[in-house]
Amino acid sequence: MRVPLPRPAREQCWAGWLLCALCAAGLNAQTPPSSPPRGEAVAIPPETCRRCHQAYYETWAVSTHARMDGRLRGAPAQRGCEACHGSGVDHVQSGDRALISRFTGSPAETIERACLKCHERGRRLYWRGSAHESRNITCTRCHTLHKKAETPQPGLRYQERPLETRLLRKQTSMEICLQCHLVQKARLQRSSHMPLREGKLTCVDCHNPHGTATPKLLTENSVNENCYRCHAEKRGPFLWEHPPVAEDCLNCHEAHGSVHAALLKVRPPRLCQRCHMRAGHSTLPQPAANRLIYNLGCANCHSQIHGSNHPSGVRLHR
Amino acid sequence: MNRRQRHGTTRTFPSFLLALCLLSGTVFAQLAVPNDRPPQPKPSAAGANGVPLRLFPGWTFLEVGVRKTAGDTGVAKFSEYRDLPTGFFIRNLALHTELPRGGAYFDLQSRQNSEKDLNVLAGAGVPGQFKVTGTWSRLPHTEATAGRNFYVRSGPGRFTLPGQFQALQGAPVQNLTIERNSVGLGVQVTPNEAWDLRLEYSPERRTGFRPSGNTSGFTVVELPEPVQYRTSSVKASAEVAKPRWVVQASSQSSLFHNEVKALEWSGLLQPGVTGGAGRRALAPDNTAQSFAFSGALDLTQSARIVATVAPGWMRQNEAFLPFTIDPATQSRPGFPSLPAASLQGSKQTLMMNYLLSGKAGKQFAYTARYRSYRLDNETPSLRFSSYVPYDSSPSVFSEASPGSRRNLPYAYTKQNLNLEWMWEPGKTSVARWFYQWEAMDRTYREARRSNEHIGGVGWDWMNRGGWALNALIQHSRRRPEQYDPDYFLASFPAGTSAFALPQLRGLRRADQAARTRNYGTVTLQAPVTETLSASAAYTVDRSFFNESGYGALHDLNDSATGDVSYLLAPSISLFGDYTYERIRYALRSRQRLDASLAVPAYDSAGGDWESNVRDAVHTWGGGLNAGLFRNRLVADLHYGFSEGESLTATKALSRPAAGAFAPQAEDYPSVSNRFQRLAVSAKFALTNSISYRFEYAYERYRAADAALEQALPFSGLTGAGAGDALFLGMALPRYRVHIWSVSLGYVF
Repeated sequence: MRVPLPRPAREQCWAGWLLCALCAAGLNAQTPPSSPPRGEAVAIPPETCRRCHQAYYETWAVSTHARMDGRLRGAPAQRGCEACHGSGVDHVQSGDRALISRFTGSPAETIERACLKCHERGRRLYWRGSAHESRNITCTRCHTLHKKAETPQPGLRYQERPLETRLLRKQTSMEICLQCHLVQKARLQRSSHMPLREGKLTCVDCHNPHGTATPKLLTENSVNENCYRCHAEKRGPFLWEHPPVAEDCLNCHEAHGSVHAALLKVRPPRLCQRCHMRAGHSTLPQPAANRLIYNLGCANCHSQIHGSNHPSGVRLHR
Repeated sequence: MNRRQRHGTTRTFPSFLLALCLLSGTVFAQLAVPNDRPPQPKPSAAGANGVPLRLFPGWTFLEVGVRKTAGDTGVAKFSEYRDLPTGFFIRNLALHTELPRGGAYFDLQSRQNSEKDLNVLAGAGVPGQFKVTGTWSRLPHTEATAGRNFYVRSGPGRFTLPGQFQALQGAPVQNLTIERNSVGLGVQVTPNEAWDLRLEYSPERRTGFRPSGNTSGFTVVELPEPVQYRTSSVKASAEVAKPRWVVQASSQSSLFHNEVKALEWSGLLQPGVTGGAGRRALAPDNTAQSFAFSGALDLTQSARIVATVAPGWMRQNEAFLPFTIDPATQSRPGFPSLPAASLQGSKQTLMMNYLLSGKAGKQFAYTARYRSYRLDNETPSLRFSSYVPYDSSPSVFSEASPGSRRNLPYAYTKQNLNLEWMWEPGKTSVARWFYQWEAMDRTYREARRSNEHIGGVGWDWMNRGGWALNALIQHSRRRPEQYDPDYFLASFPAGTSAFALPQLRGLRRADQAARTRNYGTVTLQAPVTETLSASAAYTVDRSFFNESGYGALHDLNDSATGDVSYLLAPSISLFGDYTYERIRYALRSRQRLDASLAVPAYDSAGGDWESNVRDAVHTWGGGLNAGLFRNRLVADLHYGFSEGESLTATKALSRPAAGAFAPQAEDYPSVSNRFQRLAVSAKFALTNSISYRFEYAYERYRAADAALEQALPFSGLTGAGAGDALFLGMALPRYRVHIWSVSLGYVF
């Protein structure tokens, strides 16, 4: 189907001049060639694409991308559909599918390049080289740009508090993550768990799937700093500290769910006895009917296990 | 106003507020949108290039209904993190509207709109120019609803036992719930395509009680610890992004304030039993600040370097409590004085991360990352020449009877180097090799320095049909360069007690011990046919502490999981999943008694014992989604089942010599818990705007834990010496609940 081309808009010409000026200044000397090599001065408005791609157009027209169109960065000659699919001049003229960028079945690099052209900033600064990127998990694995416009509603399996993002392939962000992280999905169902399955927390509260400076895609600088965001009372510094606690909360806790209370990896007293065997009651195997086993176990007395600020709290009991 | 009335008033407040928001939003929408809102897209000035934009009819809706519950709804576990009141509710509320010109929008979403369980997100702005975001979140955390507290609260954090414990007949119920109530306000400004400025402020308040143990010598008293926390956080960030480079700067501050500084209790459990009064310090006020400076630069077309430097501070300077609450002890001659009025605690952190990634040719890619996290502890090491170990203790430790202690400002630096090389022989697969090095440098710990070397290979394959196979194996070895089991002696400037035994020589603490770890995982995703897809994964993670004579011996973790989905008809799909996880821990210890407990001191191989902990967890899930009658009726069904069991087996490793102390090794009763949930939902669209939804859910939870059951019914005097422990008696979480709801949804 051949469609008559529109005339270039004045603003697009200005953008071309600006682009040339930037190139001349050397600022864009090594910019990846995300712009199409041909037809740069001619833009195909989305209305033109709509004639053949009505369904895609409708989903795009109500999307965030449409609302942002022409407002933010990106070559002004590329707006609307061309912002992602590249120049459509040749495709429009010939109708040849090979002459337009189609992302279905495309290499990950092609898909990423289209998205990162605008999005390689903010929380996506560390995308390249991240755990997901290096495994060829592309943006479109989790996001879709052509989605029916509706506010996500919590499903039967996963509740989720309202999030700003709307371009997910699933109803909730947790469904996106848990489709691959199956063991974590199972751990959320355990007796001792954080309020993820109730929808009060989501995976992205602790992890940034787009890459971070921290291992395990944690949003903060360390495991403990991640935990302190909600548990600031355990931050200290304390007069008497428990070194494994100050170093890594995961020495004792399993964050995604446990069969033991308080997300502990092992039930007290065995958890504590993995390290404490100098003398006295901590070295005894302890019979089951014992107040050192009942209730909170060792924490019945050593309740300040995360640190004590009492002058006499050296044993983390005051 | 009685309790019920007051309860009802507060319960309706959020709903009222939300209704007000809806009303205001609707008015806003009426102002912004012509009354004859057609289904066709409406032109808008938002599209600067003439793109017509549609208003967002699908994003504005309200769902109200009535809920009924039956069963053990009062059990704490049922309402652990939620609030499901019966009666009228607003489940979902969403409002989105835009001005026809300029693109300014207002957006409101809320869920779970009940008294204690609320999430609201509101935003307004102009796309690409500015955005203002507000949040309101309430989260309950209920630990017990049937606990009994024999103590009477006489003030914030003060409890008194009224009379003799034996004379008491019952005690009031103590609800152990903490409620979080937080709001957030954020502003984002994008003055041009390169700049992005953000500011966020989010105060949070936590109130309630949680169970906590307290001791006055050998007496254990569990009391409701008051939680009166306020936390305020402020974040600010700025970013400049150009096609080749990005620079970010951000700062973050957090202030924590605890309104109750100490927990005090008084009253004898039994005549003659010590421990009548005590005081415990609660979480001190603290502050934390951090900055982060990040930058990214495209070196070439494919190579990119990203760097982050983030310094931070954590400080705490709460005034110390006195050594003891007991005035008689304080008036004794030679009662020690505190070495300082407060700690002046300060920790500095510095995180640095450098990442280089890129491509070498068409088939090779690489990633190199160096990361360092340093925690410098500048907290002064205070020397307590003597102190009072327990409030009720008549003795005051002194230099002469080695009680002199000083705090050790623990610090560490963690460094990581990751090198990864990837080879893409074709468009469908990626092979990878990686090497990682992790070094830990610690101050005031056994292992001053340890190195871990990790190597592995992986293979990721995916074809155009969606079949995917991911496999990864890695092997790592961690070795402490030196291990000093007596590092803690630095905490005893005057030496330890003459009775004290030295640290067990063969002990290696698990987090620092030499370790060999093998990890492997394989995942298969198989879209078998157009209607049937399945995935499966198997993971093995085994850590062996080879050089540990005592302490943790191994941590073994295996998991197998799989799921399948089948498209029975174009609008009917079935799905199911299963996961099995097995975790095994082993530890070896030695029963040791110093000279204060046994003469002569007992420390021989005859006291060795070993314990094995085995956890097994099965998780099932399954259900269907169906859209019938052209999707006018949408039905969902889901069943989830999770069962976990933990076994602890313990045995003595050798027969001790005659007359020696034999370890009383015995297996513990198993700990188990099971959670089931069946949920059915049917949503019928009467018109394009009106829909009804019916939901039914059945939940059943049971748990068995001898350690808790022994402390029931709700309190007890336990132990060898009667009257030395008193627990709140948190009831075992066990419930069966039916939940019905009918709701009406209206799409505006």
